[in-house]
Amino acid sequence: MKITIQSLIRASGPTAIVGGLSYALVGVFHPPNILASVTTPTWLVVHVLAMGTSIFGLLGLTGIYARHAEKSGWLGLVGYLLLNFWLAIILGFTFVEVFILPALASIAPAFVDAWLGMFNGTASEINLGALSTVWTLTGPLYILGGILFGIATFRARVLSRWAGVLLAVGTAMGPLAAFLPLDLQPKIAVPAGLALAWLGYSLWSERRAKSASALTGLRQASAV
Amino acid sequence: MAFTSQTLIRWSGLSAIAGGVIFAGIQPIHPADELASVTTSLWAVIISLKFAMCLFFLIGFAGIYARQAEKAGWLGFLGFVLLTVSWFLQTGFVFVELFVLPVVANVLPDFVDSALGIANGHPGVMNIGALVPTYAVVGVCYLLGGLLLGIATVRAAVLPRRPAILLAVAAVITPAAALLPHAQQRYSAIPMGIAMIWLGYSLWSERRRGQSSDAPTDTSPSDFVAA
Repeated sequence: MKITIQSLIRASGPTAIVGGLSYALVGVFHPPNILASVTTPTWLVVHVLAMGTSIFGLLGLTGIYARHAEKSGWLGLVGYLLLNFWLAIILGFTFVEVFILPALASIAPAFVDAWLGMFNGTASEINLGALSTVWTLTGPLYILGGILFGIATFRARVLSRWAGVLLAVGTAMGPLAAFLPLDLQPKIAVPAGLALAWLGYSLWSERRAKSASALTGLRQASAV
Repeated sequence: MAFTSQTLIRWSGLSAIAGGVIFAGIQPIHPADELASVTTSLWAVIISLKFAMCLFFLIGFAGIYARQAEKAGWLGFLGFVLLTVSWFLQTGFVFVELFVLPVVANVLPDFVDSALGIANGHPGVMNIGALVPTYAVVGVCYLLGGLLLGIATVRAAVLPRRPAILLAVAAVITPAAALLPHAQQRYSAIPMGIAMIWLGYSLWSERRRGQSSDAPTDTSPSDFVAA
């Protein structure tokens, strides 16, 4: 089998599905951000899934953007870049949550508490410096990126428009998490995760006939 | 201005160049991997650059692979995937160096020592769990990924051969650097940086005509006519 740019873009559909579904699962199963959670198997599984969200999400989003890059214009590009930065920065946080927090839970509980306090908005004795600022930045990246990319997808009319709407609405809902009790807050991720999976499905399930006819058109044009 | 796959791939060349410049450029001025370094401002600057470099490389490798995906076959695909895994995990390590180590340097010096020990080959006293084997995964993927993508690039004959050979050789000689003292080891990054600058430049500077004739994409026939 020959790998073409079309088949690569199409293959990024399943990666977006995996990334989106793992994000939704993170939302459903995320344990409360308290010291006792950090050493549980649920914590580990959820945060490995969150790392999967970043890597599969990055690859999947790139394919989704490449598919309608031409039609989605600057709005799509800016949305894509913001979401990419968000996924890259989130990766750093989840990396620490998978590899470092469990190891430090017993020897440096104050540090782990401070880390979790960053998410819960509670003060702690350790100053995490630039980290809290970076965490605060991820909010606007996620919300703006999702809204812009969702609108661009809707306007481009290449992939499922309703998946674009769900992405925009799902990410715009992010700040509402602040009004929920701590243990329900992560659930706010579910619609956005499903939207990413839906976009991936839309990319994957596009008829091959469409691209085949476009290719035939190209070949005829080049023959002229 | 409309974005096509070709435009995106060309831009990813700039990203590869930026990553390569940082990778090669920071080595002579990189602070020593020791506790005293992590709270200096030089550390903050250099490690911030490294964080940007990881993201540039992820984009750059995607472009280098996408440009020749049709010709590079499964060898190229495997190389690309391994390199992506390597630089993705590396991004996590750099994030820790940038945001975690300076913060905990005073409260958890043993942890910082042990974390730096992964890179400088002097294991610290603290057991830091899965971090050590994960760093080994970074290294193996870096070596194999560079080798495979380099060979695939030579065989595909879409991008120039010489930087592709340099990519493969630079990846393979990296473990040999372990024979050198740690301070000199980091210079093994320079050939890799140069290979990335070179490959990125060739992506960026390719003539548009050559690109559109051998890389059919999802562009509409009208784009083709316009070219």
